[in-house]
Amino acid sequence: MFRDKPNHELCVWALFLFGLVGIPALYFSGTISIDTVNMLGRYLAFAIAAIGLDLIWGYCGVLSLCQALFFALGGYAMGMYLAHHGGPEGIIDKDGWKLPACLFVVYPYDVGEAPGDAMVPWFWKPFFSLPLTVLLGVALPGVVAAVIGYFGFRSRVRGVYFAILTQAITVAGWLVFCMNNMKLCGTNGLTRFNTIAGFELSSHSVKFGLYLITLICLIGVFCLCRFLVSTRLGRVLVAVRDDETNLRFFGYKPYMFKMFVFALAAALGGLGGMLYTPQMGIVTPEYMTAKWSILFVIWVAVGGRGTLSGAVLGAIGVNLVYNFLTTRWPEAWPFVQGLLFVSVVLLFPKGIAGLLNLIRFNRLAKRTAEA
Amino acid sequence: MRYSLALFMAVVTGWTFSPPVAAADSSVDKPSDTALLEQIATLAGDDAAARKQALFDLAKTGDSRLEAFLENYRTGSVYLWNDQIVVCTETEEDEDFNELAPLTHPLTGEPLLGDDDKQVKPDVSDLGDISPNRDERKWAAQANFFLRLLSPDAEVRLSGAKKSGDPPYNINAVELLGEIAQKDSDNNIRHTARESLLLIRLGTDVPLGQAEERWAAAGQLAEMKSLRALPILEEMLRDEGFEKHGQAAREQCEKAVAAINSHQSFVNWVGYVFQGLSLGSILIIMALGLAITFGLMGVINMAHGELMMVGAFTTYVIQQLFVNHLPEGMFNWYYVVALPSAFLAAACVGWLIEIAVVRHLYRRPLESLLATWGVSILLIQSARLIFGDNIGVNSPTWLRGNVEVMQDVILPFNRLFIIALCALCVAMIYTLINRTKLGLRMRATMQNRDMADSLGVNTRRIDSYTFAFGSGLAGLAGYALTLIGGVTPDMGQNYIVESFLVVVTGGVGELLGVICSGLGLGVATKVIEPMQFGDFTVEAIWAKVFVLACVVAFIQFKPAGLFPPKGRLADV
Repeated sequence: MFRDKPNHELCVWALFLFGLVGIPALYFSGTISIDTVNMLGRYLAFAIAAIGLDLIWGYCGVLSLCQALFFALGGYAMGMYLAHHGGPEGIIDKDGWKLPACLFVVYPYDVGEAPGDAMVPWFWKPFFSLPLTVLLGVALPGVVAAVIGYFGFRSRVRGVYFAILTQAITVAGWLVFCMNNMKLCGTNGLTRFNTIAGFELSSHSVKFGLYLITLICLIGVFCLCRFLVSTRLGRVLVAVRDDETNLRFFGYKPYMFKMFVFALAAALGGLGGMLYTPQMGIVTPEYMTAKWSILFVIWVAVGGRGTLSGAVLGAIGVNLVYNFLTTRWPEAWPFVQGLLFVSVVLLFPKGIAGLLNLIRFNRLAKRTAEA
Repeated sequence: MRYSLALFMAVVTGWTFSPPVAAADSSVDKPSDTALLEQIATLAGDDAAARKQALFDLAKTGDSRLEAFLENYRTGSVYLWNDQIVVCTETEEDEDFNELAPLTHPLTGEPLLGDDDKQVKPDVSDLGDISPNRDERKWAAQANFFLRLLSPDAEVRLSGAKKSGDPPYNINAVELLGEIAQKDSDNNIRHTARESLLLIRLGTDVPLGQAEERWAAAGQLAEMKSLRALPILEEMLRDEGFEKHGQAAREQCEKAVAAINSHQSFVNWVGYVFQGLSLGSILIIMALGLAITFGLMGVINMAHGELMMVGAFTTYVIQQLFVNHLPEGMFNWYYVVALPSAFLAAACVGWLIEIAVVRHLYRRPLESLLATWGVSILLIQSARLIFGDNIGVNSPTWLRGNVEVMQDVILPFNRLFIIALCALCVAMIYTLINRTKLGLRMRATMQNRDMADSLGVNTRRIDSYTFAFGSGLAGLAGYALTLIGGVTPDMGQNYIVESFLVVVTGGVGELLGVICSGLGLGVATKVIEPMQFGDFTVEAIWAKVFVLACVVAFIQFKPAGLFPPKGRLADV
């Protein structure tokens, strides 16, 4: 059944298999520590968001620079849930809600308010229950994206213009989340997490469980997107990328498709953020900066856009290099990163996936030559 | 506000003298140091009346050196030693625990030298005490005040005139202020003295008979549009005890507050618009470079902000060269030299980027965004390693002042300079594009690259030149930014998104679009910032978010900006 698959996809499946079998084996045999597993879990969460970006950029040709915003929105949703159930400090407000510890510390009192007057803001309350949080963590970014997409795509804001627009929206989001009187803990971010669904976040088995859940989510998302792009919808998306005007003349409404994919990509970004936060233990507005929104794009570009597997390989690969370098030569990382961006775009426009396919082509060529 | 009536009377009777306001003009001979020292010596005498007279004679001289002396006199640091008046502010102890007093000259403040050219340090017990009594201390303080009002230095006179009108009002200065308000040669000082005079009248409780005059002062202050009177009037109106002055007084004060308030808000608005103009100017210089490279080549240069940083760091390097290798008097010239240097340095870096990276990415705009982002990371990290994280650029002295174009409307030179620089850049670009051969070729390449190519235009070379030129403009933006912002390796990041927004809003069809949208976004941000809706003040962040929302809404109607490319270019 793997015969007709391209190399990069086989590679990703091998990676998944290794994640499911190899990593647990290594962990339980004591070769790698729980921190390594935790780190891998975080990179897998990045990969989920990267797949979303690959859908909208690789298949639909729309460069979105607000995947980081959606990732952070998901992260904040989960962060609020975790903050509700974490931290020993905090007070009970007048309505009987427990004020989360991280909010209590930096609560922006109005003039004339005493510390006892702190209230849990209304938008914190839905995030008390886990199912609702999971639902909102996916749905919120999706809805935000649908709104941005509706206004952007319907008036045919394209290419570079859309990229800059999304970048500006991300920056606006960052500015707003940094403000302390938004009652989202300002630049401190949400922290002091303790338990998730009643389990201690610090225990090794929970960390390992989160890793497994993230991996399974990633596999599910990967399969879903693979399926999606193999349907007629996928072909329309590619048509949008290749010649939108033409498609419109055929009677399609490209903006509907773009909007749908943009919202789906945002939802995946939110999912990634939700899985990332409990493994990281903190979520700050930092993830909404211009830097992060471009980082996501870089992962996809390095992995190879328009392949889905490339997004997974890129997100995990680049982050492993990052992890390797920053522990040894922290000053060197920006140089490596910069050179990586430039060289990937200039020399390997198809990224890792393209390189992997090259190997297969050579082997095939060799075989044909022998025959 | 409460005044000791005794002091008041003492001053009115004893201190009424006709001050030689003419002495405020430096044309009048200053008494020689010997004469001053003689008067100072009187302070050591036994005659109380003579001492008082001496103090006030000293004040009349307007000699600024006396300020320190009178302060020393007031605090009791003036002594008699060998029939000489000396000053000693702090004593020392030698190994044998003798308390010694290092002496200084009463006028110059320099150490008194003995025969061996060392500072004289007699034993403390050798010093004769000249401690002023309570009244004399007060007079000394007063004399110090008059000293400033009578100083030949206009700056000192101005600050003296201003200070005497601030609470607690210096009621003793009224007469002198009146003279200054009429006769001083400096317009500004006359105005300030008059303002202070009215403030004193307004702020001082008077017997009932003169109340009318007091409240009339409020009206006069309102006519003068005195911003200084505003907090005083407001506080008076808030005071519960104000009722005793009657309804008429209240009305007069309220009218004055309203009048001054409207002046205040006018001044504020002019200030905001002006700040917006200078912010807009920087955005325009940035965005012009972007619009050229983007409009001409379709390349998104995310390293544009870092080219700006290159310009700022070049300015810094030139400054350091001047500080370290040239005489001090030359320092102000560094900023002149830095102008072309910043342009050239950024242009060179831009040219290298074009050759190494951008050249290979024409017609792949989205990917050029990623590659140039990589370049920007490289540039930031290089700057950080070479120069460190925070460096200081000092503006040259000729850009440090300000000019008051209207009453209370003060425009700093550095922001005016930025606006002028922006105008210069616009003129330069306009001439280059419309009046030169290079500009003609640039436009040809922009309109139809293949056709221009086949007609013999070396489009590749034109691309390089254009990119270098656009980068140079970014360098100029960085050069201008050193005047108003910090210079850090990642300074470009703060401006890149906004500059792109300017380009997107303005469209790439016309330079005019960039100018309109740059000024529009700059002014809008600064004007919205201080607005208030009920309890809610907009503040910087919401202003940015709001402007952004406006841009998004605007793009709904004009997806390719204010001035979109027309004709066949439109749908490329």
